[in-house]
Amino acid sequence: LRGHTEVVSVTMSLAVSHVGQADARALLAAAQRGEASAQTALFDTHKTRVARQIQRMTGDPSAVDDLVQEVFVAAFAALPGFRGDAQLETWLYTIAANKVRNWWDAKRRREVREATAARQHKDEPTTPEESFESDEHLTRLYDALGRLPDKFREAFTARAIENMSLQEASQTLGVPISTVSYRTRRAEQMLCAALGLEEPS
Amino acid sequence: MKGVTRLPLGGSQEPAVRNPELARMVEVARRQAPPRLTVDAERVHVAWKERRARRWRSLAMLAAAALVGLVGTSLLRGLPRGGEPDASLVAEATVQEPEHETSASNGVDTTRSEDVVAVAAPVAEALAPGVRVEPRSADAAYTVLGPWSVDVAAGVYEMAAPIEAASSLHVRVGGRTLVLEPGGMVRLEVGPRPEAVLLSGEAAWIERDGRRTSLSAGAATRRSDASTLARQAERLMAAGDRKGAIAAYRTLVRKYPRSSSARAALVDLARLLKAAGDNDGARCAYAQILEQWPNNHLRPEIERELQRLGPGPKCQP
Repeated sequence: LRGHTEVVSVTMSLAVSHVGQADARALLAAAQRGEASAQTALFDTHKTRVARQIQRMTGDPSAVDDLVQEVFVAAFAALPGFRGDAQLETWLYTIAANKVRNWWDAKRRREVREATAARQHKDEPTTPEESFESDEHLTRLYDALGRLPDKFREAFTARAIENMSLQEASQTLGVPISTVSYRTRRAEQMLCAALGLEEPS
Repeated sequence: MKGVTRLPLGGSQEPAVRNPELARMVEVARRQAPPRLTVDAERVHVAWKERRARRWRSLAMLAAAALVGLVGTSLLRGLPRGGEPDASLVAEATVQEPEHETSASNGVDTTRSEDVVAVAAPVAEALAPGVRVEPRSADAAYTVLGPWSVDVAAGVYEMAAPIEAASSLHVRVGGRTLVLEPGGMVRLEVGPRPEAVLLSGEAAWIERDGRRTSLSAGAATRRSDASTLARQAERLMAAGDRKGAIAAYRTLVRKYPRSSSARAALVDLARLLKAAGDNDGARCAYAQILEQWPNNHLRPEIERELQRLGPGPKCQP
């Protein structure tokens, strides 16, 4: 909750303190007309949060730049259809989640082609040193996350890695709270099975 | 590893992660250094303009092809007037590709040609309220031609027309048009052979010659059951259409009060009503959950919400 809320509140306070609500609407309208300065302002306001979300969803810092660009290009193209009754943050989150889905699909396809190399990589022994352990943790976690169905991965990422509450995740992912709860638990079971950990009861 | 004493993750509600080893991995993911971005607004803007230009090019080609077909048909029929091609018609049929130069002073596109859309529909800023056109693939892009009209490029989309819509939604796909009636929802895949799957409601393809083919829903999608309504409400909620989502959830709860979807629907309905300022409605929805499912695992959370909302008028059954 803390990480997500901090980012959202910083974004919100920036929007409120620097431009005010009326100006924010005017900024949005200008961006909808395709004005470069307005698009720049929107990009600068939201880029950090979107980049962070993408890193947490992919676990791959090298993928962030391209995906951030894709998200904003798609957002600017679709902006004329944005009615403004949804939070811009939530809207961008959804676009980013869709881009990440495509990224995982492409990654899986690539991995199938490079199956031998990937297996060799996974067979490398772990090292006790902490930095290596962290890298190893990340690699193992995201390898396992990548094998989950999209919906389960997204619920787990939102709840566990983004640390959203059930309610926040429900609102962001656009599914009922009970669905978020179920998907997160199921995702944990699948991850534990994939990682050889004891499954929670 | 140090600093992993914050279990369970996920705040004060149910834990998001229960296995300690997995929680340690999640903690590492959460502590990852923020990504260093090299992409900037200018690069994004240039990429967006390129994409828009590509889009206009394909639209122009479509319009030109349609007009060539029209002129050809007229000539074949010995029209217009006296058998000679009408020069003005041919002139109008010339569609120029816009260059999309942007005025440096105000950033407004000053060169967008109206020719492209003059043959189709008037340009509108946005779709009518409640209409949803959602790209579901990376290459999907659409152009709003009017409040009830869009043109879609290759890609996958989901689209819906609100139940209370005053008009049907017209989706141009190449030379054909997909007409989505109010309350309808489709998944549309535009490729060499465009394919539409009816998720709910009614829709039909209109061919170039006016032939109409109704979309038939599969057995699984024809019924307007509780899960279909729940899915529709979730989509509306995800699209930020709070009013539409509330209406869909209310329908679900009214029609299928004992279904498994109704419980989740009531939770979301209560939350949406509260967000919309309808505290009495939210209170009644929460109360209904406790009445129908007294052993709900969300009971403590619901009771806290009811306490926060305070007392109010008696709820209608």
